[in-house]
Amino acid sequence: MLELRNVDVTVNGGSGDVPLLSEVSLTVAEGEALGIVGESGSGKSMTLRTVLRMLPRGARTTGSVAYRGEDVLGYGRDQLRRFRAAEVSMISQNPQAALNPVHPIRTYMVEGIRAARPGTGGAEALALSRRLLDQVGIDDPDRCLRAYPHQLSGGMLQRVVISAAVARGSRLLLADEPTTALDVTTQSEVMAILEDCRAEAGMAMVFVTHDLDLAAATCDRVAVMSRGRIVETGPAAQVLASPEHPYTQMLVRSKPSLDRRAGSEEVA
Amino acid sequence: MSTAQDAPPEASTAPAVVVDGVGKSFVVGAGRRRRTVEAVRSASFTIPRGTCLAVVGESGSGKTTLARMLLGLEKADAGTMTVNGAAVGDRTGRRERRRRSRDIQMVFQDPQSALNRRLPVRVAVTEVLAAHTDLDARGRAERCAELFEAVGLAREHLDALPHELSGGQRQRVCIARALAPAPAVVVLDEAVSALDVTVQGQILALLERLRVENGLTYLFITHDLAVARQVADSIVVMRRGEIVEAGTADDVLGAPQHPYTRDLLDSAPRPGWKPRRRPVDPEAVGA
Repeated sequence: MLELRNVDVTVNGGSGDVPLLSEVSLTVAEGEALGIVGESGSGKSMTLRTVLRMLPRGARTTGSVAYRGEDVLGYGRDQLRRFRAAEVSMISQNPQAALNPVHPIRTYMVEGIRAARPGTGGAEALALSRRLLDQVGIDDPDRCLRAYPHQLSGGMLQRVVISAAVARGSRLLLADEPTTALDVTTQSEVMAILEDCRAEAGMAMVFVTHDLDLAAATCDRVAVMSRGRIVETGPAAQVLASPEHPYTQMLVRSKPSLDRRAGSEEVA
Repeated sequence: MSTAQDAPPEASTAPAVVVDGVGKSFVVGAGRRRRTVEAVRSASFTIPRGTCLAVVGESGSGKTTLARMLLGLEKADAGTMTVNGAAVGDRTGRRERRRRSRDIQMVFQDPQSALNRRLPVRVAVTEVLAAHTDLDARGRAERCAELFEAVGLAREHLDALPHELSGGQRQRVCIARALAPAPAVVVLDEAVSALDVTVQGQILALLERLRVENGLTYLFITHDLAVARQVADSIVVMRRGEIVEAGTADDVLGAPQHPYTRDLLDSAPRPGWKPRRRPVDPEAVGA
């Protein structure tokens, strides 16, 4: 459903062009989960932002981004708006940033649904919100809908944005380190909820994370990025168990293990 | 872990840190929502000299409050603490601060915000040397260069501004600063949590070398059990202000006794792991 082919993104950085992404090619099938793994500055988030065409001012994109056969880079204003409202949803490390602090959760849910499906009545949108908040494990959906973002914990807010993505009927979820700021037990819970929601709605996902194990556990395939390039792609379990590219091998080696104590510099 | 010393306490064999029945409460909220939160409840442990104790737990478990009390940044409501043989918090004043600076130092999670962005990074170290040692300007510069070398930084890094260094290099500066007064104990509060995994490995190896070379004692705060596994001789697991389990790293991670420790271990992604939904914990629900 999503295909990036030879995508280059460059920005003008004072002393010439700085490449952010180089020859990035990837595909995501309907309902599939693709993990993008890499360290800070490797281009993971930039890849997601390229899909949404939310790049820094002055950035130039070449190559092609196709969504269900349509050329995303060629979208006009209205098409782009529709694409962002109804087709893709993005969730980030900081869900607070997606929510207006002066409005209750209800406004966010209802506005999102009505933007994705014009003509939906307020009561209908509210009922849908209530049902989906319940599905993501929120005990008292009515209380949640009345609450303001600052009154909810990080794990709760992440559930709210996940349920909003489902409520809008998005077919593709772009998830940028959605659980990095959460405690491990909450991460486990949020990832499980995310999987349930995706399975039920048939939603595809691109999941950006620095955590190789997390990507392997939750994605069908992973792509490993380094310095703006995809250096390795393959089935998640295979990339983790027998990495081919030297960079992936280094990532796998560097991962702290629960089984052994590390040595000091001399020993290592 | 030993709780009491049988032999008469002698500087070299007594534990570097003794925490005994320490508690701390905060009043939060206002008006009708005003309530008291017990951040730490009767915590007790010791850290033998030259070893590393990891304090693990999730957000709000009291890890950082505990560290702040050890540093004298927060006053305990109950219990006693001894660091490097001296009781924490019974005296104040400049001389006491100077003495305490040789007992305990701290490294924070975010080196970017722990350094002044307008000053060359060497100032972070020389400033500490000026406050806590009798070295003259030249002695401070020499000592600073030595410390930079010890943490694996080059001489040309001395005059760099924080933004000109990588995250790992900035954390090395913070470690050099912590070592400047030659402390016995260093508290590392999520000191590698913001770093990429390859850099994290380098910093952990550096910390291990410095510990062995200088006989340092570490209190290592982390939410990451795998990181605790890398560095710790012993581990305490905290949950909502209470120590729920304590023991050697091998015992706590290899044969966890408390359900919460097992829950933490089960939640850590690893090959073959699957996320799972759990019954809602009524105490953990916010708002």
